[in-house]
Amino acid sequence: MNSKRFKTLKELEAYRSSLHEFYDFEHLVSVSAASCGRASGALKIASEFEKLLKEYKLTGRVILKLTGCHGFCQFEPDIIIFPEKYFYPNLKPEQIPMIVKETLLGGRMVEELAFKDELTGQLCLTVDDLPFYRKQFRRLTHIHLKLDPSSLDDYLHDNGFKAAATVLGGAGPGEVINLISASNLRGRGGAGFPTGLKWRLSREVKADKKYIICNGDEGDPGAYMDRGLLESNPFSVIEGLIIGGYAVGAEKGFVYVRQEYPLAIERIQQAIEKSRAAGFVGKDILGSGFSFDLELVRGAGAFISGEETALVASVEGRRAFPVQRPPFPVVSGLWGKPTVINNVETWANVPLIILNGPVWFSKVGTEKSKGTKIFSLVGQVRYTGLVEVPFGITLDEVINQVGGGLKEGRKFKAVQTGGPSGGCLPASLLNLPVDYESLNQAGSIMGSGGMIVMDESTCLVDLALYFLNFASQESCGKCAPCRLGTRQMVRILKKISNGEGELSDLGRLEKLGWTMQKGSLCGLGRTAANPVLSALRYFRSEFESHIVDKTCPAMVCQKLIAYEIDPERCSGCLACVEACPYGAISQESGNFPVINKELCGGCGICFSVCPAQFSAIKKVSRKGLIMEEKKLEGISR
Amino acid sequence: MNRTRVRLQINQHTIEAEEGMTVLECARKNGIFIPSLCELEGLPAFAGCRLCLVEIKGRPFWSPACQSLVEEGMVVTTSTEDLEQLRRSIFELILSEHPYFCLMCSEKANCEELKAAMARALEPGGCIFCPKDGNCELQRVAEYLKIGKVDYEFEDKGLPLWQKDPFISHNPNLCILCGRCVRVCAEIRTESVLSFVHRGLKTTISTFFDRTLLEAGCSFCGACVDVCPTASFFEKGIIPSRGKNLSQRKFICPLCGCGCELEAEILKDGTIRRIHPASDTKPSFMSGCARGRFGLRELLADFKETPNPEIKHGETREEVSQAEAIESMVRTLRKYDPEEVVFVFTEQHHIENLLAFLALGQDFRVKNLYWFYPGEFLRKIGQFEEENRVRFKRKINPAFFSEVRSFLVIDSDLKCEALTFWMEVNRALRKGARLIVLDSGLNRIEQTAAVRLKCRPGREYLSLTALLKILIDRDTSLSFIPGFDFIVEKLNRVSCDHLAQASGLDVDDLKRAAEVLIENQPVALIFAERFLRQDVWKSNLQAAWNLALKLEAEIFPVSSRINEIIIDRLQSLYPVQVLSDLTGFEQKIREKKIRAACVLGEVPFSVRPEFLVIQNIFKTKSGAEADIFLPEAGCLQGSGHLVNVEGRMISGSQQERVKEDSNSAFPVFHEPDSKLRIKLEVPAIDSLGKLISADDDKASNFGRLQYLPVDEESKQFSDADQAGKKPSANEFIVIINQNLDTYGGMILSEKVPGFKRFQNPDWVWLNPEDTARLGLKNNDKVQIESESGRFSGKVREDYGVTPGTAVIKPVLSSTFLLGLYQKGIFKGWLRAENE
Repeated sequence: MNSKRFKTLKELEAYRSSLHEFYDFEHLVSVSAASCGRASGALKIASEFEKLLKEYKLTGRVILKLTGCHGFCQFEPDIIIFPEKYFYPNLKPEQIPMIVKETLLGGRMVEELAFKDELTGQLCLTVDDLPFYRKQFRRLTHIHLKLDPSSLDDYLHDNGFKAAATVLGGAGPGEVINLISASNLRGRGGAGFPTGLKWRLSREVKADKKYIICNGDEGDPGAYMDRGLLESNPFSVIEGLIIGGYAVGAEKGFVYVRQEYPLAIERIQQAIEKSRAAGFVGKDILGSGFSFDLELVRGAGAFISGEETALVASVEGRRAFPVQRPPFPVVSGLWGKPTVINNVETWANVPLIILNGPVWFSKVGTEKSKGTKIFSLVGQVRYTGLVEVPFGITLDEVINQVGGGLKEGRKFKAVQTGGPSGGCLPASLLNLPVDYESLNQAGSIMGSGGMIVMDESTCLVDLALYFLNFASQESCGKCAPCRLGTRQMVRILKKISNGEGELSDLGRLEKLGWTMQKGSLCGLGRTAANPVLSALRYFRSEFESHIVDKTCPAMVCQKLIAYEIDPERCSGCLACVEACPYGAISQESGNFPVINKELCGGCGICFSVCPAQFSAIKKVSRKGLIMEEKKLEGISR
Repeated sequence: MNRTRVRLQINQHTIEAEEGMTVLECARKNGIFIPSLCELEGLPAFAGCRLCLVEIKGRPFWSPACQSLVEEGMVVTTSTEDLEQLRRSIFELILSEHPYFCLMCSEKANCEELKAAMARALEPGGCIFCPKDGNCELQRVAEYLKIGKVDYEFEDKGLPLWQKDPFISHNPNLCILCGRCVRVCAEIRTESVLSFVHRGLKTTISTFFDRTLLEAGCSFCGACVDVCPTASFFEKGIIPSRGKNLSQRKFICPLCGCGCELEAEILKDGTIRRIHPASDTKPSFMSGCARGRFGLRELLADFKETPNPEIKHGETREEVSQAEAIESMVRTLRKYDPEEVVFVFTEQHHIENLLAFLALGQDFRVKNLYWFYPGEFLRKIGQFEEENRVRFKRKINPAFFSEVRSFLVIDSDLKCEALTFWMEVNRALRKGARLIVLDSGLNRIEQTAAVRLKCRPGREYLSLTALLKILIDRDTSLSFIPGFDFIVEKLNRVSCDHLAQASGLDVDDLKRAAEVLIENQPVALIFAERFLRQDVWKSNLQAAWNLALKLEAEIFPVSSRINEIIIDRLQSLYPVQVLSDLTGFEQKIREKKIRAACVLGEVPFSVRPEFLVIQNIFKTKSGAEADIFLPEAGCLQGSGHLVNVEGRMISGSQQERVKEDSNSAFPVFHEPDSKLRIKLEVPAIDSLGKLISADDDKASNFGRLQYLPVDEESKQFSDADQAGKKPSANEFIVIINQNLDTYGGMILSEKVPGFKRFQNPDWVWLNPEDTARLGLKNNDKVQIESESGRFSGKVREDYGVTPGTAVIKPVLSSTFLLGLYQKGIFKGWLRAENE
């Protein structure tokens, strides 16, 4: 363990080369132990390994590492054994002894525990065999597979702080900005503003103090790229910040992380302290004369704090209200001083660009969007997790190749990108290349990288309602169009979802959307209507069938569906009878249970408790039922 | 300051504007209307209502005019079809949570007549009960946008009304979240009581953890009510306006030195509906406080009938006409030798009344013309000026503060004692000036200070000298001033630590303060009465003077009572003497050296002479016992001039009197009465203005420097502090703050129910540390025993009080309290008073 403070570049390099001998091992067992891994039991797996390594006297020969997120979150807890790169998914503690004996001692893969590709049925022994990883382009995240995020040595061993040292050792701030500009790096937070330009603007403002901020206030539902980075490789973010601070002339930086990310907070805090102790943060870094300090600020978990002006307010200790721009934070931000705010992923890209050069960086990507982007691929897709892909890859490639297509027997309906500010794109747009401009044109946004894949069982009205509800609850309340517009949208969508909508409501939604887009103060309000507007653009008929036919094609909207028991499939287990909170399911002697439609509240509990092998409960459109009832009434009369 | 001018185009008109102006300001100045709700002149911009969005060429989005600064060559369009459509849509959204019956009701036209009949309930509900109906900014915008219907469903917030506080109520259901109240509360009034709470749909305006305003430390300045575009914040119990049955009357508040220009809305039956800062003073939310707008409203509302003149016949009292009363008074007074007659007056009167009173005294050839002036602030300053051959300015233009970069405020709670000054100081602070507060007692402006220096009571001069020492150690220039070398030489022998220790301050704090003062020049040095209400007042003043010289700072003495400045100057026209201590005076009455007294205002004698005439606005207890009682026209009934803290002559309305038939509501002596053979010679009001600033041109910064024997004294102090026995647990240093809550002898907390809960002269402010130590809690009854007597009061916990000190703010209603007051600081022993 390093405990010294590096005063010069030489000292650092000497130390770095001395590290190699410590990395001489037979095996490295890397346990994916970020928040996602821990939630599924990674720590138990690790302690089991630890116990067994001692038992078999393997300590020293085999290194056990708790790394950050390996990305394949669906199959956690997983481990990768280096150097073979054997991949073991979904481990249970009782399987560990076998792995230790077979793989660590015997050097063989335990094939029955190996990953089996659902599509082809093939066994994938190593990480490189996995289609999920094979189709990715992991520049930022490849190191997450074997880097201990709490170890500065690990980071140094992987050329950590080399970029910062290079910059501080000779390059002028202008040169650094030129490099970043030449790489065409664009802000990964969503809007895609050119990072080099942002830095230059701030550099050019004359001020006695300047600040930089790392925006880790990730609030999109279902998105966790920033958390992944902060938990897996916090030092890379810090290194990016040091380089950024040097380039724009800031002596103080803030890392803003939401309180809901306790592990990320712990990791980044630890990393800041270690960097400070080693002399990468603080006064006169590596003898360059450049001083830079970092402070962690914890956010209280308001979605709006991710908006840069609100973020500034929050760091200052004020209520996170966005402020009208201009002036932009690069001119007047924290305490009125020029402030550069970049997303976690943007900062993490910076050291790579410095180390490998802008040409290397811009080798991948489209004309206007260079490099790679991390997405959190979730939803009804076969393989979910954090994926890193180059810009320009099509949605189809991400979903069907990296994600392995939709889950068994499901049909693609839409993909939602960009979280609550983004939109839903239909199957016809699957060939859309993923970059800032294309997504914008299609009515969605890149956002920070959420990607939710939906199948036919998703109702777009319901989805729009979900996102608008989120936006209306997370609106800061400052400007009228956003606060009140989202509320009215929620009301109208609820009406439609309940089958009480009118066709004029669609026009009203569009007018509200326009009002919010044109009138709102900040990005949140301006984009809050996107889920509705894009759904209306691509799935208008679905709205119309809610309004005109009073049916929900996806059978989701509670008020429009009812449940029926298929006597052919029912086994008579009566699980549904017990579970029904309305007492609507009864069993007449000897017969199969029947749902009393008048009592049924449409909650769907029976549907979910019916054992999967029977699946005897069907969703039916309530409209049909209502008409049937009417018919029956007529006959009886 | 000359600002650069820029040319821009608004709606194809080329317009010239000053740099730094917003597009909205510029448009408004040029007669172009842009609707807005959250913007208010004088408040920082918010850009939340989005109604003022305009098109600016070259910008990707429509920009709010309220926050877009004008630029050279800017091309602005304020109204297009799209913009108006957007405004309508946004405004409809705003109305979707604000009851809008008053805007769209089809019966609206017929409603006016019914209103009066229906407005019985006092809480605002529908349009007819809304206190803002007819004066609501939403109504104005609706008219401009021609809103005929609201396309969105109405959503009632259903939040409870705030009614627990005195004076101010809040109906969150009418709130449109424009945030004006939050901004005025935090930025202008520096109270920070109101804030946005929650987010999304639940966003609302509230206090810290939804406490009552009282608990949240509100000073009830009422600015939130003034700025509210709807009736969300309103005066508690306000009567709906009932259309046009309302007259406005402008007047000057006489309660403190600020002399705020207020306006009363008077209903037809003479009831005062509300009092608010006069609408032509802009921005109005910078003046007025609880005393004037809520205190006076209730004090004067009780006073629909002015008291009648009375003459005492033995045990009975007879109501007479004004003329009869005056005649009787003059006849009786003439029986006495002028030596045996005294004329005593207080400050809170129109100058016209004062002059008439003085002239009458002169006519009687009375030698004993007394100004009852327990504070003696200007007298002491005058004495200092004379002894040191220096001169302070009397007339102050607070606009000067805008150029000041740092303020050193000593023993003066500007927020309570001179709000006008505080507003101007705060304006400078918002522009980046720094504030240093040196105070031993309770001070409400400390929170805003860059450095707080909580020195020991009575050692202010040591603290100031410590500052001077630090400054001199850094640089000893200014040696051209006579006496400076001497001071430098003397101060070289004292250590800074020593001085700091003796003044009870941290050396680092002092150094930080010095740093601020050096780096932010020019400096203004402000102090008020409490600074001079100490035994060591001369040292205090000298230390301040020395420091000001070194810093080349301007000194501003703040006289916190109305008319103080003019009365001080009237001594050159009339043989006015200052009466501060009543004991000698009472002795003379007992010895029958004084046999008759004529009093204007309320003076707390404990013995009364043979013949007593009292003229007052209210018939207080002493008035009711006088031989002759004469009513005086109060601030609202009469009209006249007052001189405020700035030395500015201000006049109330020259409108018709409220009660034309009543002579009693007007200055009694104003008209010379030939029948009584009295000839009053009263100088013209206009000539007094010159009198105030007569010697101001002689005001100079180069007076005599005097060295204070701080070395010996500080040594004594620190020796005493170190060696001295630990003071007993209940020993306190008691500081007496000024109480400005009286008018015409009426104590607001006694007469106005709300004041009892909010500002009570009974309270003994203590640090919670001390109360915890002594096992006391808020509202416990306590006694402070001192060498001269006993003070009883109720505990009031406040972190602003230094541990070991207590602060009281008594009304000076007895000779005992007067004595304590003049001491300013005294040692007392506190103990709980058993029931």
